[in-house]
This record gives sequence, structure tokens and C-alpha cells, in this order.
Amino acid sequence: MDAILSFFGFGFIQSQLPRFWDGFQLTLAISAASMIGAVLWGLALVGPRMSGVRTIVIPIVAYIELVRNTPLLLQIYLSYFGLPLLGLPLSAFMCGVIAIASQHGAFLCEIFRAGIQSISRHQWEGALALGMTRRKAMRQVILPQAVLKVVPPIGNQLVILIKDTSLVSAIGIIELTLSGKMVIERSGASFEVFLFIAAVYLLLTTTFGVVLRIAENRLRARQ
Amino acid sequence: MSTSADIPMVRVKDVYKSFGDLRVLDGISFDVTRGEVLAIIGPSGSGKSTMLRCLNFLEEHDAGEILIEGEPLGYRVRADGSRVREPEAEIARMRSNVGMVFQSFNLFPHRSVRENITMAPVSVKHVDKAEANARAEVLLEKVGLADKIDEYPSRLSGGQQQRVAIARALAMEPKVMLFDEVTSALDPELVAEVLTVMQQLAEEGMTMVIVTHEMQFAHDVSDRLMFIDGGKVIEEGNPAKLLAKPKSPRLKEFLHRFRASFN
Repeated sequence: MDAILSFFGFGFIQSQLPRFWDGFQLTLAISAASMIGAVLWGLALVGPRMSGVRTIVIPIVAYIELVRNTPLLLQIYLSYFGLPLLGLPLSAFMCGVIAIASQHGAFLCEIFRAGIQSISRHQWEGALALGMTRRKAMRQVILPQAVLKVVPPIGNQLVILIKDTSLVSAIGIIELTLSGKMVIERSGASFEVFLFIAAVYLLLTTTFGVVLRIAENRLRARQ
Repeated sequence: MSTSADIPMVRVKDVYKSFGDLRVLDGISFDVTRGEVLAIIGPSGSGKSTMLRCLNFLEEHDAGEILIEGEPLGYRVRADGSRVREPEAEIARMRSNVGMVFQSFNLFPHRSVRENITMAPVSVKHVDKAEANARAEVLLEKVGLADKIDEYPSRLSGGQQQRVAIARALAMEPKVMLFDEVTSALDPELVAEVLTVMQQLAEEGMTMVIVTHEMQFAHDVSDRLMFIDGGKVIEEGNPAKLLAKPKSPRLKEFLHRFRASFN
């Protein structure tokens, strides 16, 4: 057992744990901030996206198609080098979060839209007949049901988001991936380090997946 | 001077409505007085459900005027005859005075029975939560479902769901209640429990407009029966008289076919 562990450089990894720990914490922070941002952004987009008002819908569809169909890495660069040019004094962290939330929010908007459209018009009528405005009906009746219906695709999207946070290493944020690269540059132990980091991502995404499934089951169990 | 008692609860004035080329309401007019129970019968496609749905603006009439207690619904007709659509908040306010019960129940599956009933009073009429709760308990008692207050709709039978839907509509303290074929989706043995609740409401003096296929119930509970076909009122009057001695050929034929289906 010890032989296997030492073959995979376990002792070495152990000695570098504080560096990985710092990187891991940043990955967690970026993931959490981007997730919150992406969900809120997706929710903010979906109303106007479905408003039926052409002058609102067309620019939103254009934006969604643009961010969905260009590489996130490029968008991170654009955010990092572009936003300061617009006079926004943002940290690399914020630029990274904005780029990730922007793209994943666009994806989420389309997922939310699919969920909302899957709710029967009878639910709308039930809510409107009680004197709710469309806005109240959407918030209290339609969205809660729609979100529950699309929990699995939302989960997928957020797992992709977690993995995508590795891209912000390109703008010098020493999150998990970049912290690994830095250890490799000092030690040359690329195989061991990348394998270890992959395992950490795997642990993170599966833990997230399990939490999400438990939450989903809890919600469903009530109905 | 006219008092509010003189104003009909519902006034439908020369209302037209088409879906594409199909004219569904063809210049229909009628009043519903305070406390009156009006039952609307007619063959399928006659426009009866559309008429009912116009009474809370779920369908928008193309022309004519609908007044709820004298207040125009959906559109305000100017002196020159042109129409202005009311703002959404005003339409919502008008709807909050008109309770509606649907064939498909339309309960909110993600909310408990209690929440289904308290939701609109709290969020639309800003009723205090405790008060809305107390009222929900009273209403559930009335429809015989006090023990189901914390259940979710999917755990109730169709008849129970429909009674919750009635309680939910009543929680808004509406001036008039609309019933759109509310027993059509129910198993035969569950129909009676819903009709009993409606009968009780009628006896309490609630103004009701009922679209139904339950001819016997229409006969028993309504003050006035209205036969609609082709988007027009063909014949109306005392339910017993109308059913026993129909004048128009269309109502005769309708009743004949209706009775034939039971023999």
C-alpha cells in the first residue's frame, strides 16, 4: 500500500497540501459566486426573454447566442482586459466571476425558459383568476414549479460551471488548477499533481451533485 | 337615486368574440342580479364556456361591454364608442372580485392546501397572514376538508381538489362566483360532494354563474336557466318551465338528444 501511495507521489502531494488548499478555497469561492451570479442573471434574463416585446427579445436572444457560441476562455479575457477599459476598476476575481456568470446565466436562462413553458396554461389561469398580476403569478406559481422541473439540467449546468472555473487560471487567479501548475513548475511532478487535482474536482462536483439530488428529493417529496 | 342594489352584479352588453374566423359570441347580452344563480347550458361549441371566461377577462371580448357591479371589465368604452384597455393592475383588481372554479381544478401543486387558499388573500389583498389562515380553516370546514389543510393537492381525490378550489376562490371574498363545468373531470361518484358545496353556496345567497352539463343540478339549484347556442342566448327563464316546455326548436333538440343519451 505504501509503495502504491509513494508511486503516485502521495507523500509529495501531502507536503504541498497548503498550496492546494489555498487554491481549492479560491475555486470554491469563484464557483459559489459565479453560481449565485449565473442563477440570478438567468432569472433576470428569462422574463424579458419571454416578454414577447420584439425590441427587448431580439437583443437578449443576440446576447444569449453570442455568449453561448463563443469560448468562455475568450470571454474571460475580454472581461479581464475589457472591463477596466470601460473604467470599471474590477479585480481579476470579479472579472472571472462576471464572465462565468454571464455565460452560464445565458445557458440557465434557456433552461428556465424551457421549464416555464412546460407549465400548463391552467396554472396561469388559476393564478390570474385569483387577481394576481402576471408578475405575481410568475413569481409565486409558475417559477417555483418550473425550477423544480428543471433541477436536473440546472444541476448539469452548474457542474459544468464548477469545472469551467479552472479557466480563470488564465488571468492569473491562483485557484486549484493554477496552484497545481505552480507546484508542477517547481517540482516537475506533473502526472501526480494533475491526477490529484482531477480527483479534487471530481470530489467537488460529485458532492455538489449529491447535495443537489437530496435537495431535489426533499422538494419533490412535499408534493 | 340608484343604489348599489339596483345595479346588476354582472351585466353583459352586446358582447362579440371570435377565434380567428370563428365567431364564438355573437352579440350576447344578459344580466345577473345580486344573489341570483344563473345556469348556462348549451351544446359543446355553443360559446358557453367562452362567455363564462369573458366574465373575468381570461378571454377578452372583441366588442361590447362587460360590467361587474357597474364597473367595466377589461375595457373602458369612451363616449365616442372606442375602447381603451384597462391597465393590468386594474384588470387584476377586477378579477379579485370574481371567483372562478375550473374544470381542471388548477390548484397549485407546489403549495399545500392551506397555502393554496391563503396565497392570494395575502399577496393580492394584503390580508394579515394569521387572519388568512383562520379564514382558510373556516372555509375548509365549510367544504368538509378541515383535516386536509396541510396536505398537498396531489394527495387528494378529484372531488376533494375541486372543493379546495372552491374554498380558494371563496377566500378572496368574491362578489360573484363562476363555475366552468366543474364536475366534468370528476368520477361520477365524486360529483355529488362538489354539487352539495355549490348548492350550499347558492342557499347562502352567493351570486353564481354556472356552466354545466348537469341538467338535474341546473334545474334544482338555479334561479334562472339560459340556453346558449351559436354564441347567442336562444331561450332563458325559469329552469323548471324551460326544461319542461322548451319553445325554441334548438333547445327542444338539445334536450331531446340529452335525454336520449340516458335512455
